Amino acid sequence: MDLTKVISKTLTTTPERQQEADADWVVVKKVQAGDVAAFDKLILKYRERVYSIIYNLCANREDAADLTQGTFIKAFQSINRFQGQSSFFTWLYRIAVNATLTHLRKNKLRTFFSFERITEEDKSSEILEALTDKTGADREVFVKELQEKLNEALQKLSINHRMVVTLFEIDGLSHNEIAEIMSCSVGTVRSRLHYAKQLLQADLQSYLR
Amino acid sequence: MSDHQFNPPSRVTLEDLLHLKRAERPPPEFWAEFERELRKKQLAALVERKSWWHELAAAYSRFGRMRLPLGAIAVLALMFLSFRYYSPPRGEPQGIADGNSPANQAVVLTAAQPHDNARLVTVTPPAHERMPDAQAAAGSLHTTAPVAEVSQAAPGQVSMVIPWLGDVLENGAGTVELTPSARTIAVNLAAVAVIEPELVDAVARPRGFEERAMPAVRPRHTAEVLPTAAAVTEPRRARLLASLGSAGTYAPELSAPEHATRSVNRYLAQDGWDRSISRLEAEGDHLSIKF
Repeated sequence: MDLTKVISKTLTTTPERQQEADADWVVVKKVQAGDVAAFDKLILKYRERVYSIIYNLCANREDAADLTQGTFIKAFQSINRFQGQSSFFTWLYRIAVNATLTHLRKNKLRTFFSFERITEEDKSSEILEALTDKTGADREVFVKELQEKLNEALQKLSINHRMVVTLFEIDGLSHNEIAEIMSCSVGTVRSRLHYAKQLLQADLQSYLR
Repeated sequence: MSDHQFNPPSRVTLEDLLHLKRAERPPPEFWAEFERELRKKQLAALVERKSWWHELAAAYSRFGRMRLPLGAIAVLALMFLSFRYYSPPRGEPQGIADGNSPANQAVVLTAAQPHDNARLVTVTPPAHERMPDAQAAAGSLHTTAPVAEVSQAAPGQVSMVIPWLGDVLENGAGTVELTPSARTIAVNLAAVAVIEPELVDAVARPRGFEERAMPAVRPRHTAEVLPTAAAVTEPRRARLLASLGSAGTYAPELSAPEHATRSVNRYLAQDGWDRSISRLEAEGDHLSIKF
């Protein structure tokens, strides 16, 4: 890895991320040594996050499941080539993102949407409370309509803008991590994020205050 | 449903809305199915045989940062090899040729007697006979070197294989325009004719189109064409001559005045010729009549 990249990574990576990367590296070494079962730990750890990013990019749960499985298989096949130059999760994300991009480009004209249910936890429940005072079936209908509107607004964005929004706002990655995954500069990530938010804001104006 | 029913009660930001997307999660039973399918795909991937280009790509990607210099070296090596084995067309200047290069060598038959066991050897012609590449560049591909070496080798065999070359050798031409390649081919063919006569017979005999078309243009048979042509035109000539004279007594040896006199005499012998006179003039010692 370049010296500048190492320095920037050291300066920007949080201690938690660094610990996580170190733990992953130990497991990866075991897999590389022939302990195939150790890869299951990595699958269990990252499957939801990988699924989430793919699902938010393609907005189809069946495609997302297939692509997530494909991502883990590709990672398993190529794990001997992983040299630890980046964290494992960044490497895995890159595989997932590339697979999704290929899928989206291949199926540009075929757009079927299928959504997961919104799990009402503390935060999401609060937001929904703030959005509507409806209860029962009316609330269900409202949530479904909101999901569709959100998805519609996201699908209007270009793939790169959608990816930046998904990785930053939904998956909670830092600008640096996104830049590393998307192989672009941090400035590009910020600029894309700013532009994408502007578009989303204009599209979802009726839900915002 | 319709948007007009929607009435957000308090502050909701874009980040809040996007946070809802984070809450879109599959149910727990989804992961059980997911794991089962993943296992199946993993096993299928383990037994799947990869193509050789996958292995090549994997090996190439292992070099990491060395990929660029390695690619550049490969391109340079390819360029070097293409230049190394590139042979420019005739007429282009080349470097000074090595005296031992194949172009300056000839395979000569060495045998004490015609029926001895012949063997082929590679010999290098004298320095003055070697064709320098600069000469080739100038386009002067002919040489005035005597063909004694060829005739010494096997003149009989050479003429047997290549008739026109045999003529040249038998006529004893001191200087002929013969390229080194032609001499080499002739000598080699002569050598092969001694060793494998059947092979030379099979190779030298014209076949197909050559057999049908080439005999007419062979130098030795060009003289035989004229008598054939004369025989063909003889009846036509006879018919023409017969039409010229009433009795068929055409004598091409007669001069023009004699021929005119004979025509006038023949005309005057006919009856009633005096009725067709249009003008009659007597002047000095001669008489002119116009019919």
